[in-house]
Amino acid sequence: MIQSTKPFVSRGGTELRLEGVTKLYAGTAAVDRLDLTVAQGEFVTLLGASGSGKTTTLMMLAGFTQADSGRISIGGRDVTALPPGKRNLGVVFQNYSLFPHLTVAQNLAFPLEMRKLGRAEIKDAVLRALEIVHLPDKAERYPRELSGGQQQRVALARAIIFHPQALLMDEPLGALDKNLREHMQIEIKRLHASLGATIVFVTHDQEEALTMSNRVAVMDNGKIAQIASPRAIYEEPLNRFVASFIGQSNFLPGKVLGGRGDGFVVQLTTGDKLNCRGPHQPAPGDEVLAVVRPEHIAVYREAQIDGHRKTISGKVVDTLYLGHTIKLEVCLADGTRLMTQSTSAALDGVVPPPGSAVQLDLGSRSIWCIPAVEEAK
Amino acid sequence: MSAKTRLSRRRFLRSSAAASLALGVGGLGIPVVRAAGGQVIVRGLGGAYQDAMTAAIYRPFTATTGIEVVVQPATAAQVRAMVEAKRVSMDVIDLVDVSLFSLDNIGALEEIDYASMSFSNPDDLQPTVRRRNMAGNLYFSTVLAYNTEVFKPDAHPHNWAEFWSMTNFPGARTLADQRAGAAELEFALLADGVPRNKLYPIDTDRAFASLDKIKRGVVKWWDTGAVSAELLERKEAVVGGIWNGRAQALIDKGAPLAIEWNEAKRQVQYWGIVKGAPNAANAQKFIDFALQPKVQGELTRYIAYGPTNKKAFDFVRDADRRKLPSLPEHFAQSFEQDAEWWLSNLSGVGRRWQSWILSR
Amino acid sequence: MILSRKAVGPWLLLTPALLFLCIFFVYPLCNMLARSAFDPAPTLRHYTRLINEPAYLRVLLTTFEISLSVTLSALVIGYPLAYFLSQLKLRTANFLMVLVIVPYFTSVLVRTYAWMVLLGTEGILNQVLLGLGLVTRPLAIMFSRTSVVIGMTYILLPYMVLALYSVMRGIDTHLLHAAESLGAGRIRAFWRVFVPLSMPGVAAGGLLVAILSIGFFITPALMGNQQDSMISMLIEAQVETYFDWGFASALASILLACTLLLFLAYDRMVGLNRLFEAKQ
Repeated sequence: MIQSTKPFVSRGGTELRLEGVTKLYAGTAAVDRLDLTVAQGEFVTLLGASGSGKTTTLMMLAGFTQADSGRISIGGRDVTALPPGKRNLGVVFQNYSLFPHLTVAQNLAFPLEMRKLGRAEIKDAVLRALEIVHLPDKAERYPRELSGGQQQRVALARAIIFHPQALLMDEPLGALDKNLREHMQIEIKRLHASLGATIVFVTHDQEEALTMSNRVAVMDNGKIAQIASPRAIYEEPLNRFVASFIGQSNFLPGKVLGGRGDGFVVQLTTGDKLNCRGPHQPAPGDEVLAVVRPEHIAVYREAQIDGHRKTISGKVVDTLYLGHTIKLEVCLADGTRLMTQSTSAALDGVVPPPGSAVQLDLGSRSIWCIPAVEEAK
Repeated sequence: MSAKTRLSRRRFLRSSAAASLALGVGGLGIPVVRAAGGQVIVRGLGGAYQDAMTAAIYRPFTATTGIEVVVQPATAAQVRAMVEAKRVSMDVIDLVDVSLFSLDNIGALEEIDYASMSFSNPDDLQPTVRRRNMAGNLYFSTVLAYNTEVFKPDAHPHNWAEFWSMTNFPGARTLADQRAGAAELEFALLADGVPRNKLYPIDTDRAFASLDKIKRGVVKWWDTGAVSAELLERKEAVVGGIWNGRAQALIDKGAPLAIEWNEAKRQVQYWGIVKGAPNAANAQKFIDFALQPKVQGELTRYIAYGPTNKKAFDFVRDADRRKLPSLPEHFAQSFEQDAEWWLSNLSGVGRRWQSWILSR
Repeated sequence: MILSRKAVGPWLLLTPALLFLCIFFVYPLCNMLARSAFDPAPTLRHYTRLINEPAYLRVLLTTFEISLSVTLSALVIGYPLAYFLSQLKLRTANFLMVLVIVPYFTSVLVRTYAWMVLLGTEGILNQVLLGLGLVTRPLAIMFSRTSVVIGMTYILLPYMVLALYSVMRGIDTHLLHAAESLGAGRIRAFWRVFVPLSMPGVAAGGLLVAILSIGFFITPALMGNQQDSMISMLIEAQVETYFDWGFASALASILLACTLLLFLAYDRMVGLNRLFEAKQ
């Protein structure tokens, strides 16, 4: 939607860095010795459940919350002790936080007035910003007279109008309905592309995180459980937390038999052998968990077994019919239960009744494995 | 001596509401339980004054007649309102002369039935206080009271001229507001050199001109006896013209005050019966009882106000006698306020006083 | 249109209150208004008397001056207090708020007497000042306009604080964060964002205190002097001492008109419904 040809933000953005940052609340660490570097022009999303420390991290970056220890720098400059106003960061809040007593134009002018820009200059910048967010006719309106999406766009415009070094967004789309949210996701992505801005985005919505970011930092208990590209977060989770937080996962226990090529062979407790790969090359005998996404499992009835494929046999315990998808809970030979998710089409619209025997095909790719016992961090 | 306090006014609101409810119920034909001899509703003034009345008059009256005395605070304005609305819930009122005269002027009072009196002999009353619609209850004086810590016994203001002299006798003063009954025009004239026997008719221009001179020295013009006492007790004023009973009560409490009787102004507190009083007959009986020499004499044990019944002095204790305005020596030094003059000039003086007091 | 039982029900519940108000409020009020113009015969003299007599105009002026002083004092004291309370955790704030409001349940009379004791010649304030050697003679604070303003400000402060607090509580702290993130220092964020947003509270509290001030009686009567009489004292004097009920009614009508004007201003600026609401 944002199609300005002129680059609005003159500078491309700046690198943000948190080193060993800790914030304690009542003796408990809300953020625990956190290290995070956001490269210049990068879009990083902090993803986590509430209480995981993602908002606290953002607030420390913005300067509203003081870190108890650690160092925060923007573009190489230490800002740990700098008040928010001096950090030159654009912040977009969950509830937009537009000033209700000021018009849209006055809201946009606010950061420029704080920077003591000239009247004409401010007027010009405000008009340009309004055009960028496609609200040129709303300058004299008050925020309460705008729709949620329009308010969101004004908030966005206000956060970028003063050429901040980076944009921080705290669940900015949380209050919008689904359609508008998807629309705004695209707009923000375009904005990111056209401005080349460094953006730190906080959300609890994993889909949003995966769609928008260059990298996603999954947060758990004040720490980053994993930071990687959306694809890597989904396909190659580092640990059990990430694997189960992003989408659904089945964890099949097994033991490493030995290496093969880039990967290794694992014998599941069911006795089946799988070609696997993982974050580390394990030693034979190591206990591992094969991470199998329900949607990656093809389900065949006994009769349909394709001889070339290696399958695992199991028995249907429970079924869930969702129209376009069918979910099955299957019990394997050793009693391990796993979930499958298939399209109706793949099963020809037939739901295998509970008790019926099925063959599960885990696919031809090697299976992602994580260590069964996680090292204490 | 309208000794009403703000507190008693508030109490009045409550009790009068209750009383009018009770009367209302009675009016609806629902029987109201009353004492055997019925009741009489008397205006109460609260404080030490009411305590004295209770001990010396109310209780003995009930004991003798079986008539219950119901005490109810009220201001002159409230009595007037009752009469106007023809919803009288008060029988006997006890008011300072000028206030009662003005109530009488609007026809708010019943005639006093001297002929039927049995407890008192009306002929024993001072003739000046025996009036058609009211009977003198007691004499009181407005006296010059001063703080003995500030003024040594031999170096205190002895008269109103000295009271008026801020240079010789510095310190905050207090004097009565018109609202207390009558402004101190007489004192102003005395201070200006008018002899005691030439005060009336009052030359109001001269009086106000004299008041102008003391205006800055007066910290507050008191409107109720309670306020005057507070001012002297808290030393907000170190010398003032206040009612002798109030001053005496403070002295008896140990306050460092003394009374100068010279040039004191004598006034009369009168009994009257409200027109349309619900218990008019009992009210006549009550006033008859209250005017007895023994009762009046008894009252001086409790409060330092003087009897109007000439025979009452037989019943006054020696210790109390010297505190009374009607003591012969005090009588000689003081003068009597001309209530008649005040009555006929009340509204004129009132207007003039208002503009005078409101301006700086 | 036929009113259903449901529609009539709530109105029936109002009957006792309406009846009470009609008998004890509306009727006497009309009576008063009538008296101001028909006592004893149709006349405007009670009103012309007010205009022709400088002393009475002075009383009106004094009334407004004192009301304004009290309102401003209450604002100056109440604003920081309400701000402080609004920044606390709700529980702590509620507890402290109780401390602000509890005196409000005590009689005005008692509180006025307390101030008289504090401010008197022999009062605590003067004793402290004398003890510290700051003054050589006790200050004559009592029975002046100053003492009236002090006493009234104290008594009306809770109204101001409550009005301010309820608006301040409703101000989103994120807005201040937003202002700071946009380059404002804390003080500038306060002035540019918090203060403008608290203005409804200032208007509400100010008008409320002004409305209550202009009709105030007990405190000015006890703590003031006659030269600083307020209109209510003048009314009382007409009724109690001078028996001039016509003039008293005229004065009361003027007071009523001023109060209504302020209410109108309140309604325009704040909305009367705000008077009865706790939050925005």
